[in-house]
Amino acid sequence: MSNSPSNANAPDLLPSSPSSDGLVDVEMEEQQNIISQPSMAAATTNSAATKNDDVGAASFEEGAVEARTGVEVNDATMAQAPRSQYSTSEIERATNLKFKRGDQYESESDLYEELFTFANHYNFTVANRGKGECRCGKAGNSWSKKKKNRDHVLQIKDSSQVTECQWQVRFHTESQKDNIFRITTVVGTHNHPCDIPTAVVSRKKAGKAVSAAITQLTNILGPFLAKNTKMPCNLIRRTIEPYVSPGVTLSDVNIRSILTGVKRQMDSGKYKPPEPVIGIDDLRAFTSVDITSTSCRQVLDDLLSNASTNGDNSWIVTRLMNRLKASDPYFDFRIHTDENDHVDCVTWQVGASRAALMKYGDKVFLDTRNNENMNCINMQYMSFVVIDWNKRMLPASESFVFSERMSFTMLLSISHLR
Amino acid sequence: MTPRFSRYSVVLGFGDMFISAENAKRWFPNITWLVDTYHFCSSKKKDNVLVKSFGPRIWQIIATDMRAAVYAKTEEECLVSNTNDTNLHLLLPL
Repeated sequence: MSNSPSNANAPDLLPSSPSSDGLVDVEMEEQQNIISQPSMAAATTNSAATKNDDVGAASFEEGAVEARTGVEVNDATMAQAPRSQYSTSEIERATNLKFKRGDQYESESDLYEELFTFANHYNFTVANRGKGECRCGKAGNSWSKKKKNRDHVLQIKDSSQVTECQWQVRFHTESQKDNIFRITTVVGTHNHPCDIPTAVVSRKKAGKAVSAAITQLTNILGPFLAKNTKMPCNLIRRTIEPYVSPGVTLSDVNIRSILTGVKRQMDSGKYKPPEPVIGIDDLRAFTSVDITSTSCRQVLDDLLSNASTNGDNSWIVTRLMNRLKASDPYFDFRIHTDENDHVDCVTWQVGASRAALMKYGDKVFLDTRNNENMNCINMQYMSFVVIDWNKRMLPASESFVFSERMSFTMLLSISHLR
Repeated sequence: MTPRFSRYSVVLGFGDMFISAENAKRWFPNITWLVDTYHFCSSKKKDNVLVKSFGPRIWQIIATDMRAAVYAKTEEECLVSNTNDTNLHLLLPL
C-alpha cells in the first residue's frame, strides 16, 4: 500500500467515482477498505488529537499518507489485547508512530489520557514531572546526588526501582489564548524490560495505587478541606485506609500527597459541595420540639371552663386547634366536617411527629382505640404510627373521630397524605 | 402537613384486620399490607385472626406451634412442629 502512493490517494480523491474498468474498481475498493478502516479506528481512539492544519492539506501527498497509515497501524495494535512483555524496540517504534513532534492537542488532559493509555498498554508508567514533561516512571534516581558526591553507598535495602530511563514526551503551549498543546520532544527508548511484574512495581512506585482512591476521597475529605478544618493525622489515616490497597504504606508523606491530590481535584472543579438534605423550609418543620403536649391540657381546661358547648364539640375542637397552632409554630391540624358542618374528625401533628414521619415514613402501623372513655371529650382516638430503628413506635399523626362510621379512609383523606 | 412525604412513600404497613389490604392499597399504592402479630396470633388477644379462621378448638392445639413459627428467628425453627401426635386426631372431622 505504501509503495503505491497514487492508489493510496485514490480513496480520498475518488471515494465513489465510477470507472469503466472493473479490475481497477476492485483494486481501488480494496485499497479504500484497507485505509478507511484504520482511519475510523483512529478517529475513535485518537479523536482528541488535532493534526496540523497543513497535515490535512498535505494528506494527499505520499509522505503524509505513509505517516497517517503508520499511526493507524499503531492504533490497531493498541486495539489488540496487551501482551505480557514488549521489547524495547517495539515500544520505541510504537512511541514514534503514536506521538510525533508537532502533534497538537486541544487540552492537556487529552494528551495525558493518550499517554497514560499508551503506557498502560505497553507495560510501563508515565509520570508527570512538571509542566510540559512526561517521563517514564523509572526515569529518576533518588540517590544520584549522594552517589555522585560519594556520600551514600547504595545498599540492597536502599535500592530504588528507578533506572534513569530516558523515555519522555515533552510539550508546550503556543499561547495562552489558543491553549493548544504541541509535542516538542519524543524519546521512545526504555532501558528496562517492559513486562507486567515491572509495570506493577512501577505503578506502585509511581503512586498509581492511590490515584484511584483520590477520586473517591475527594468527596469524603472535601468538606473538611473546604472548611480548612484541622484534622489529626491518625484520623485522616483511618479515613483513607479503606480506600487504598493494602500494600500502600500510609506514611505522613503519602497522606500529604493524597491530600494534595484531593486539593487538586477540588481546584479543578471535580468536587461538588454536598447539598443540604433538608432545605431551610423543611428544617423548620423537622424538629423534635413539642410545645403542644405541655400546653394542651391548660388550653383545653381554659376552653371547657369558659364555654358551654351544649353537646356540640365542633366549637371546642376548632378553638383548641387554633389556639394550639398559635402557640406552637410546629403544630398543624386538619378538620373534617359532616354535611351539617359539624366537626366529625380532627387530625393533628406536632413537630416530633412530623420529624418521625419524614424519617421513618416508609413503614407504618395503623390502629384504633375503640374505648371512648379514655379521653374527656368522648371521641375515638386513632393514630398513624411509624417505627424507628430502636423499634420504638412514634405517632406520625393523631386523630379524634366522633362517630364509629368514621373510617381510616376519611381519616387519611384529611390527613397529611393529600 | 409533612413535606417530602407522599402516599407513595409508604412501602410496608401493618395493622389489625379493620383495614383490608385493598383499602390500604387504595391510600398507599406501594404498600405491602400485613396483619400485626398481636392481632394475628397473640395469646393475649383471644379473638385473633387465627382463632377466627380455625375456630377456638383447633387453635388451642396448634397455637403453640403457630406462635413459635411466627416468632422464629430462623427458617428451621419456623418449620419445626412440636405438636403432640396424640392430639392430631382432634383435627379430624368428627
